Amino acid sequence: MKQTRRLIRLFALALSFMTVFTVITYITMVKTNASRWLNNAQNTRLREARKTTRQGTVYDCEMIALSLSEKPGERSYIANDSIRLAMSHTIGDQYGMSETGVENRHATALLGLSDITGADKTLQRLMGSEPAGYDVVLTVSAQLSAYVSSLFPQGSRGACVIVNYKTGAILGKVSLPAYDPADIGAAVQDTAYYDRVLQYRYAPGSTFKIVTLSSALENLGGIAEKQFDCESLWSFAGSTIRCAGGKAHGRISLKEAFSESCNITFAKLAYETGASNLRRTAENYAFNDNFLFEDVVLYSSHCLNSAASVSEVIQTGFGQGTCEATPLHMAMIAGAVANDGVMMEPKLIKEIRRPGGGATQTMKSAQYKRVTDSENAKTIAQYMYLAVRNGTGKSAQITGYTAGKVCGKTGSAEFSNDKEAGTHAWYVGFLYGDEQHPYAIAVIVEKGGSGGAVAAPIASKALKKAVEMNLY
Amino acid sequence: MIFTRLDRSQKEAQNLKRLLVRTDERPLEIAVMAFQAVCMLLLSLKDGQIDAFSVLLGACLPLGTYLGLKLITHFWPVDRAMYLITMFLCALSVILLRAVFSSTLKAKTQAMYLVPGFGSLLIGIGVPRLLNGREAIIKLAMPAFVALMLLPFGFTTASAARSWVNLGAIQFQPSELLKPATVLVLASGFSFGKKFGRWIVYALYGFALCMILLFQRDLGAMLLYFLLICAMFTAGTGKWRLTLIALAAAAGLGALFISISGKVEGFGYIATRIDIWKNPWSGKHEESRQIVQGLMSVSSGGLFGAGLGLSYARKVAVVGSDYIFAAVCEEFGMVFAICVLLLCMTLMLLGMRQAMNARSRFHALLAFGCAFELISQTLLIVGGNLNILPLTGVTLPFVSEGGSSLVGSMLMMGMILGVSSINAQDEYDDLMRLTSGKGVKE
Repeated sequence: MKQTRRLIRLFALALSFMTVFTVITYITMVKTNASRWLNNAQNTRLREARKTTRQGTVYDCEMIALSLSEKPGERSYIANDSIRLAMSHTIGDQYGMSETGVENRHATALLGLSDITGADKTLQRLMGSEPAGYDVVLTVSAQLSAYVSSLFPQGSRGACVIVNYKTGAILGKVSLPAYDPADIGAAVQDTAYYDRVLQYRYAPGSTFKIVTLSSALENLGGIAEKQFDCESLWSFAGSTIRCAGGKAHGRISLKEAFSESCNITFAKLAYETGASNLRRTAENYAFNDNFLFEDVVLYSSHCLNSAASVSEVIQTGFGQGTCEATPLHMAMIAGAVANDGVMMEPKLIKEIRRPGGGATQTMKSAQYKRVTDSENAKTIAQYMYLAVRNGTGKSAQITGYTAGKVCGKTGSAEFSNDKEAGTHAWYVGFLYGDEQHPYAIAVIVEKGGSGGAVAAPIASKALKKAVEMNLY
Repeated sequence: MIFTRLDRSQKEAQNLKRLLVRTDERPLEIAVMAFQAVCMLLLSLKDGQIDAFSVLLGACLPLGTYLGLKLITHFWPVDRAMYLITMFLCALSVILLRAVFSSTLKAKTQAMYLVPGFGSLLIGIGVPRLLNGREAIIKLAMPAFVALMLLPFGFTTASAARSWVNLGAIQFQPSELLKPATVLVLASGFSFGKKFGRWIVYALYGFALCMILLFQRDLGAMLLYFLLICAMFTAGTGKWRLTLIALAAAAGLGALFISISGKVEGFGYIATRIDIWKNPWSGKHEESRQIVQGLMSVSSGGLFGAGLGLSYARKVAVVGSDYIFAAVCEEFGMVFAICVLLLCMTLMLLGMRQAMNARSRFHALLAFGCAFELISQTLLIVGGNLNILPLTGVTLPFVSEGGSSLVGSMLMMGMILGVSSINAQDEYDDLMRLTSGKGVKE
């Protein structure tokens, strides 16, 4: 009987713990996931609420109203065509065509349903006033985005994103082809509803050499002083590596190999560093992470699963193989190098405001993670500076800009085994040492050809415009 | 105030107990009744015009709770707090069904079920007294219980799940009704200590029930039965090492079964369920709609809920039984939902206290088994709703809609209350003996 009592007490204790565990899991789960779960096209509550609530206005960072509602159940968008189309993925729409736009991802704020607004909701009900949503102010500049959009070759597909690498704020964001949120019935090009900045994973090509370089600096002592041989062709472990255009770089230093974007050197570096070290560095740079950011939905990037073959590892060294990254993630990587090795969490919402004015929520910068130590970050930035000054990224230079150094890395990523299919043109880079203009950028032009010739000039003009506009 | 030994009336035992442990359930009584009345009266205004059914319930629920309490405590000195929490949960069921659905039909049906529910509570209270030391009767009933469990094989409808019995006018789920019966059988069987010949029959009986449930493809119920048997076996015989071995073996076999379930006829859905559990948002399976809608419902309540009758919980499939907890979250909000969970825990702890205070092992195991069964069922379905565990189709005791579940749960709660009244009586007798029948001075 005594033992029975003791065992019953034990069971009671264990069951109480399990209940408390359930309660705690419930709280943390709702706290971390509620906004993601609710701002979902499958959530019928949003559709119902749009009929009865006057939604808030979406403003850009210069308080240009991008979309607004006069009364419940209707929505109008900015009349300026170039701004509306350039910002279409950022704004989103009323029908859930875009998953990631503000009108979809932050629908609960615009409808005044989100938790922060609970007290006001009660007040509204007590006052008997018409339910009204909250205004959302973005960190993005519509003017800059429209300008960047105009820089892309006519009819091309691609993406560009400019972030402030000190705060994480997204300042400019373009995904092409665009769609028109004001005219959802209209025919669009296929895949136009996807936000390529957030939802498209591309092979990063040579821009991934930033990560390979970082891994080599971390794991191979004295590698910076070593010389490498490039004879235009390297066959190893069943794959043949060529440099762009079949060029032979001869005997070069690591610095030159980076600025000339020598594939063979970086394939060798990846092999020497080894799969597990390279994967660890890539994961430090947030590859294979499940991003759960508050402001933006960002698809995860992939690099080297644990069963990678040797051939896959050396391909990864210069960003081919199974490696994939989103443009925003590449901009975050460049930004982390510029920011002394600290990657910031991307931010899109500057402020959420009550209908009568007054912010209920303002942007708070947050570190996402440290990607490498400060010394390595400085070295990589130096290499990226040389790549723009002397190397493949020459056309990214900004005439008349002296406040800081323009640093970057080009890429021409193969996206198909068919050599005739061409390459995606990449450029990622940043302005270094300019306190007023800490911009990082990623540009990709699909099937654009060479990164140095196509993507780098776009980056140059886009950054120049951002500096002129003095955005922060 | 002095108690004298006029007669050993139950009422005095009860008053004495309240005096000794310094509890007064009056505030709880008022709170529960006020909650029932206020919610139903608010809901009567839901459709813009006053709804007579809700007003009627607004009067009947508190009145029923009050009269039920008077009736029960007139005959037995039961634990009032447990009775009141049970009544709160039962009323919550009717309130939620009225609030979530636009038609009053489901709420009406559930309110009707409260009558047999209360009847089974009374029967349950009688059980610990009537069947104490009558092992023979329980042994005789065992084949009948197994037969009842086998009934669904003969009387299923084509469309319904295989664990239901359809007798035309009445449909019921034997596994729900047999939960109290199983607790009773095992409490009697395992109360004789460690002798192998004594407990093996009952362990085999429990195993047979689990196998029948497996063939009825009611894996949620099977898991509950299995855990119940393990817990009662451990508490009754003290052979916890053997239990650990059994649990490990079951976990191994379970993992093996799940890994080959895709090839077993009729169990292909298990892999799907687990896949959905791991990532409900992938959109790969049509069935994930229920859990996705459920999670949205859970999180859209915020801290204080959408408001009574203002939620969209009806969008969740089978919200009345499987997903009633999501409805609690959305209608009343997170704070209230946590309170409901903590109340369930309190109910369990009060039951366990009765089990520990019981004088005979039969009564201890009876109360323990019932409390264990109710809380494990609660955790299984709440965990499923919150996607902590894979979703199983078990009900939330007292709150989910459905008659079988309510009757089964009420029988179990009744048995705990019965044990509590025996305990109160025993304590009263002790005190009388200590004071040689002269009473106690305050």
